[in-house]
Amino acid sequence: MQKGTEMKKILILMLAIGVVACLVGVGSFAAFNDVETSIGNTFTSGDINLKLTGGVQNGDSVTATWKSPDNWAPGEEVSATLMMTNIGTVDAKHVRMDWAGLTHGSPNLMDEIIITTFAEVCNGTIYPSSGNEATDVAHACGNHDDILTLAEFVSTSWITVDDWTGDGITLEAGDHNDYGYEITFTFDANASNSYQGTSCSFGMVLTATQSTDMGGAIPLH
Amino acid sequence: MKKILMAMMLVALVAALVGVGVYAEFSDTETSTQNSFTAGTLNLTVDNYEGVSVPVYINETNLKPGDGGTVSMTLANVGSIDGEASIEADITAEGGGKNNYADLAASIDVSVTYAGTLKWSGKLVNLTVTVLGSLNASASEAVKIDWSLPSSAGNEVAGDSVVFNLVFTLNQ
Repeated sequence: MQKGTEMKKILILMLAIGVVACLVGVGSFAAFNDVETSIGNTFTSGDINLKLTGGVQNGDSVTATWKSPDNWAPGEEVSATLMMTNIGTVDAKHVRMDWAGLTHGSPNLMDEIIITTFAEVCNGTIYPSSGNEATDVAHACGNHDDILTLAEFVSTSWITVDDWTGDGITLEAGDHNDYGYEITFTFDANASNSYQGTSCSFGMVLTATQSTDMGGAIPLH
Repeated sequence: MKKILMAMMLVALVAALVGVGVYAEFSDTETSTQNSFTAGTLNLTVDNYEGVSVPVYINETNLKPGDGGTVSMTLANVGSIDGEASIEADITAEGGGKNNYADLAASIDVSVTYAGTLKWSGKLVNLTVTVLGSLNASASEAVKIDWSLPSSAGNEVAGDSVVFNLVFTLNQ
C-alpha cells in the first residue's frame, strides 16, 4: 500500500516535469526572431556546343562532305573542307576524330584512295605552312610509309591538341568557325580494273571536348 | 572502430564523386556522315558483244591478188567513264606456203576508219596498238576495216596463211 503511494508520487512528478518542459519549449518558439533570405543564388553550367559546316547540312551534323561522282576514275580527286565551330560558352581543348559507318566492298576501294592533301584550317590560315601534312599523318599509322590510304586513315582515332597557336585550345567558345580539315582524296591512278564499280563510305565523328585526355588517339601534329 | 569505418566510407564517397567529375567534363559530338566514294566503270563492247562472244570478223580462204573486202563493227562504251579506243592486229600464227616464208601479213593492205575518219593505213603486219579516238561513256562509234591483197602480190604469198586477233581496247 505504501509502495503504491510512492509510485503515484513518482508518476505525478514525471508529468509535472513533462508539462514544464513543454512550456519551456513553447517559450523558446515564441522568442523574437527575424529572418532574411538571399534569394536567387544560382549556378549555371557552361557548355561546349559543336556545329559542323561542309557538305549537306543536317541539323548539327553534315552529310556527304566528301562524295565522288558516279563516274569517278583513277587519277581523279575529291576535295572538300569540313569546318567546326563551338557555339557554346566553354573552350574545347581537344577535337577528337573517330569513325562510324565504315563500309566497303571487295576489293576494298579504301586501299586505292589516297589522301594526297591533309591540312588544318585554323582561324582562316592553313596549317602546316606547307599546306599539307598527309605524309606526316601517313608516317603515324598503317604501314608508316609515305602514302596515306583512306583504309589507313580510318584505322585509328586522331586528336587535335591545339590549333597551332600553342594555347592548348582547339575550338574557342563563341562561334568563331575557327577550325577544320581540308582533305583531298585521290583515286590511285594505278588502280586495277578489279576496282571498277566498287564503293566505300565512312562517317567522321568529331568530338570537341574540355578534357585533355587523349584516350589513345594519335595527335594530328 | 565504427568511426574509422565511417571515415573510410566518407573518403571513398568523396573519391567516387571526384571520379565522376573528371569523367563528366563537357564535350559535344557531331558527325560528318555518308561520305562516299564509288569507282566508275570502263566497259567496251563490240557489236554489243564482249569477252569470248566477240565474233570473228575476217575468215577468208583462197585469197588471190586483187581480192579485198570491208568489215564493220560498232564499239560502245557501256561504262560510266569516258575512254579512248584503240585497235591492234595481234598476229598469233603464220604459215609459209610455196616458198616456206610467211609473207601474207606483210602483203595485205589494211585501212582503219573510226567515226568516219581514216585513222590508219598500212600493211597488216604493222597494225600495232593504234589509237582510234575518244569513246565517251554511253557513246558508240563505228569502225570500218578495209583490206586487200594487192594485185602486185606475187607467188611469194601463194599458200601462205595468217591468223590474227583484232584487239579493241578502251583506255581511260
